[in-house]
Amino acid sequence: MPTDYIPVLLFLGVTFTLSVVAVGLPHIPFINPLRPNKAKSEVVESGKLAYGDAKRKIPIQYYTTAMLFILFDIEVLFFYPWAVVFWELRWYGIMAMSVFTLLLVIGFAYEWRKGAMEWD
Amino acid sequence: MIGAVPLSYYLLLSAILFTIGAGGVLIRRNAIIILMCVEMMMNAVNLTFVAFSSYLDSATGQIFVFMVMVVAAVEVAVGLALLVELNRHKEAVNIDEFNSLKG
Amino acid sequence: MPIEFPVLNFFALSPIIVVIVLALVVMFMDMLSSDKTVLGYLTVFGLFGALMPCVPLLNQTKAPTFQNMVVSDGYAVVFYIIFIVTALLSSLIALTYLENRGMQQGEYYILILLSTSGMMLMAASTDLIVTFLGLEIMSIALYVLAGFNRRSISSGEAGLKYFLLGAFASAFFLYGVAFIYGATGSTNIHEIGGWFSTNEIYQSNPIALVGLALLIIGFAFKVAAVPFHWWTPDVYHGAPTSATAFMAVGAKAAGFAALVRILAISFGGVFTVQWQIAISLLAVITMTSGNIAALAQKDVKRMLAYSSIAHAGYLLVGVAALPASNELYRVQAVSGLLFYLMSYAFMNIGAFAVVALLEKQGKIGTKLSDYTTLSTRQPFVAFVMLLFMFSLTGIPPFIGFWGKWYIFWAAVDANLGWLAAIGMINSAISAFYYLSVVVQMYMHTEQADVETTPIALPAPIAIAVTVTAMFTLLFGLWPTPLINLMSLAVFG
Repeated sequence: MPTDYIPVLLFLGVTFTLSVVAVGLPHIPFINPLRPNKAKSEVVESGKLAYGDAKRKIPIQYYTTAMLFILFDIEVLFFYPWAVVFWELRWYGIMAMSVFTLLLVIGFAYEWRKGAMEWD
Repeated sequence: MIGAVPLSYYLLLSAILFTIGAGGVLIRRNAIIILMCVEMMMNAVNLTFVAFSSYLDSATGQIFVFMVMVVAAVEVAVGLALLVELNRHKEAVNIDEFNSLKG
Repeated sequence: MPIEFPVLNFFALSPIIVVIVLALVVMFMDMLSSDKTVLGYLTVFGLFGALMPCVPLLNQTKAPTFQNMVVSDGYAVVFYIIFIVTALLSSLIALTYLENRGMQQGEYYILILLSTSGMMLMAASTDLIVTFLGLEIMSIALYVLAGFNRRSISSGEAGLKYFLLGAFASAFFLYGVAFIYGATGSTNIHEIGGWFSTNEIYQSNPIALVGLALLIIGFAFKVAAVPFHWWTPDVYHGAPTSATAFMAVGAKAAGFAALVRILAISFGGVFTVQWQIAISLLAVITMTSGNIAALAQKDVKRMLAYSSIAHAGYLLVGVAALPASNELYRVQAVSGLLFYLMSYAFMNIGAFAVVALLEKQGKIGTKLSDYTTLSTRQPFVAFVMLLFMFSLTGIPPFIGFWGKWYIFWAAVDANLGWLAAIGMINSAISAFYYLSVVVQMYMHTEQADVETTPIALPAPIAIAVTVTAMFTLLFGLWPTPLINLMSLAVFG
């Protein structure tokens, strides 16, 4: 029912109002008399001085690491459902998942051996 | 709560997402953005599967979504690898610049 | 809640399992040994091993297994044989081709084997989940194979193009599956067919029709049917020639394997008129534009790429003939398709083997003009190339003629005489570009400025060329054993 979404609408309204207030308040001279100086207008990044451009190029080797991460990240997708019914599946599940893990391990050993982990 | 939303809304949303993705593949020239558009199409399909799965009360659709997610991840990995390889020859991600093959 | 554990019939899938285990063994060997040529020979002999269990499986009746996810019927086993033979021959080509270019690497053979296992899975699957997984296992390995030559920018481009358009096509295929699942509540192709026959009021369900259309688009991409073929010439041209031979035949056969099974079983009773018209139209434009584009090519490799589009068109004629009036005609259409795919495997891989052999020997490239005087420099190679070109045109008594014969007869039996006629006209058109290769090799011998050094013929590629030429001629003269084998290909 559309009425179920009234809380969502309210929430959106509150969020919108709050953000307008939060962004708008500093622009009222009475509340925030602007007295800029050099230190004040600098970028704050946890105490470190900012350097360079924000649109920096990321080294392409980064993708190799990202790629390997994706593969080992997604494998967990199959472990979760297994974990839920681990006791019901007993040895059958363990055997099946061992084969799955074995295949993954072989792939892992292969990429290690081939030097995919070396960062130069 | 969620059951209250009619199936057609989900289907419409996924159709819109799929169309945006397909349009992006055809229009955009940056290989990485094309890759993202393909991912978007796949996720639109996932939404369709999950919506039908919940509507039909059958688990098959959800299993299919697992497989699609894995395949999508593998595709990203392979696609990025190919792009990195190509990047060693030519500093570009724009597919119009890859034009050595013509006939 | 107790869970019932299914009993799995591993023997029914043994050819696939052998191929996968072989891939793992090659992976292990690749980690241990530095001599990569051994891996190629291991692949070749291992594939012979995978061929062994096909023999008992052929004589067995259908065996649905893995909870009806896959079936081991005659249809699947005949396709196993086609894929294994394709992988075998292209590995032989690769042994020489990669060696000549200094890129003999274990990954190549691993990818060929994994891709083959995906193709086999597609042929055996009776569930769209498995079809999808098989399709992706095949395609992802092929993307890498297309971009395998890391030194060549063309190869990298071919890989990237194939990848982007292949993934795009997969998304269409998936969306189609999602709609079919939504309409029928199942992804099992028998259950989908059964659902339509028990729920007759839903036989015009638009959701299912849209799903079917998207599914056909997805497959049309994979088998390189016009208008979903843009990637084909670039990918086939840029990829290493040994990989092109493999994907031109294997990916096409796998696409047809899954498409035919899904259309015949799930949609044998519903939307037949619609998909028959759609497939017929696809066939007409695919044949015609493939052949016409091939006429203009000056590069043999690119010409073969366009010709492979045209061959996808001929095969689509066979698919369009599936909704025939009686069972006998249907079986004829299926076995005709399989015969065509097998014959295409021999002649096309043979032709690509010759291209791979000549490429970069001395000043030879893949240009048509480079083939001048070949008959004097390497008479044997020129002669087998002549066989392949005649066979691809469909001139009797070569195997290609019988492939076309069976497919066009199936079309006539299904009251699609007009389609068969267009197919024959197209075969006539194709003679121009196939025979121009022969003319180049045999007639232009008087030119002065061409190279005349003899051409080397290393053993592995020589075996591949000889075997394909032998089969092209042998089964052309006596097609009975092959057509008998194909008639075993019935659905389980």
